[in-house]
Amino acid sequence: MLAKSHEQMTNLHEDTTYILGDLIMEGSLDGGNHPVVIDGQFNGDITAPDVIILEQGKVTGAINTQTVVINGYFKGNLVCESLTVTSTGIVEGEVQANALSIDLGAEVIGSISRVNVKSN
Amino acid sequence: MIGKNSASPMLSPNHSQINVDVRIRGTITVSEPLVMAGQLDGDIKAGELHIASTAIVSGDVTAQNVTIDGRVHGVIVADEVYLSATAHFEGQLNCHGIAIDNGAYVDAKFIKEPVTNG
Amino acid sequence: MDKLGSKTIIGASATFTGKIANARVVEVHGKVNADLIAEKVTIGEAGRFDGAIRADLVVVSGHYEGKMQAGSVWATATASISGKLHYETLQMDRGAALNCHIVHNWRAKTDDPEQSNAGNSDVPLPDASNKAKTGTVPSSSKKGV
Repeated sequence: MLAKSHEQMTNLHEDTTYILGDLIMEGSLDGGNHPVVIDGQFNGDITAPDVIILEQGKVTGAINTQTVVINGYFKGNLVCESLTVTSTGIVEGEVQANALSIDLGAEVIGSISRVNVKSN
Repeated sequence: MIGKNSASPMLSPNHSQINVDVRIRGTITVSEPLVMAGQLDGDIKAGELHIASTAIVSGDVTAQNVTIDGRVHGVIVADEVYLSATAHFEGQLNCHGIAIDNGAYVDAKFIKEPVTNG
Repeated sequence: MDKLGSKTIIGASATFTGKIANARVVEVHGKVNADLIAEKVTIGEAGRFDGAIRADLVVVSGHYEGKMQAGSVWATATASISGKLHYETLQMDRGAALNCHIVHNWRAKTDDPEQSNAGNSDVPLPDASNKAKTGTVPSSSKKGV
């Protein structure tokens, strides 16, 4: 999972959506068939196959995805197959995930339950 | 310190151990480190606690550091909790620090607690 | 920043509807429906932007519809711009399609309510000459009012 985010980090790929820096986005984002990498601020909903929230990233709202890696801050509802929260990550809200990896140092507040129906 | 780097975090010469074939209905209170490998229908109060992969605990767990390789169904109140890949946890988690390995089964509510000095 | 900088990229299959603020460099390869104020905006060949853009530099290779107020605009061969195009300098490659209301030196005009830095020039009302730098201009270049 983290190996993937490293690849994303070093090559800016024009199919991947990047929200970086001081950018503040509010609204509805559909990443299409490609990942979404967020280092800025995003309020709203995100639908994408993979979502990576980098260390400075702040996302509030709803995320519907397959795999998500949270190095930064997320508050809201999260539905995914696989969730990874690294030691700098903070997750607040309701999470539905089937595979979990939470590193020591991460903050998880809210609830984690399983996704019974695989929604692809 | 608990976590995936520590193989057997709790074992020290003075630890208590409840073996896999033991079934208890009641409450366990212990101040020494405890390795729980059996089945418990009730609550555990401990300092350092290791719930082994064969363990099945239905009840509440209160401890400082808990490493869970087995099944727990109940409320865990602890400073630090580590759920390994074989863990199966349902219930509520009130803790300060948490680590979860890929593979763990988790269906729980998470509440962050301040560190207790116990 | 060590690796990524602060470039925002909307990927090729992505769609975004909403508001964008605090942007500096934005690259759109997907679909965006928003208003945007930035320093540099690039709309890629497959990109589609609907909404207002206010930027220093805009490079359009895809589709744009809305009101654009920019310093420098470059419409490449695959560009398609509809709506309003207010520019200071414009470069149009052969093949670009401009179907819009074009105003040159829009900052100097006093009739534009949105312009924040009203040019201190007291240029009298439109005598507007649209100086497209290159290429054929299949545009309806009207004097801006």
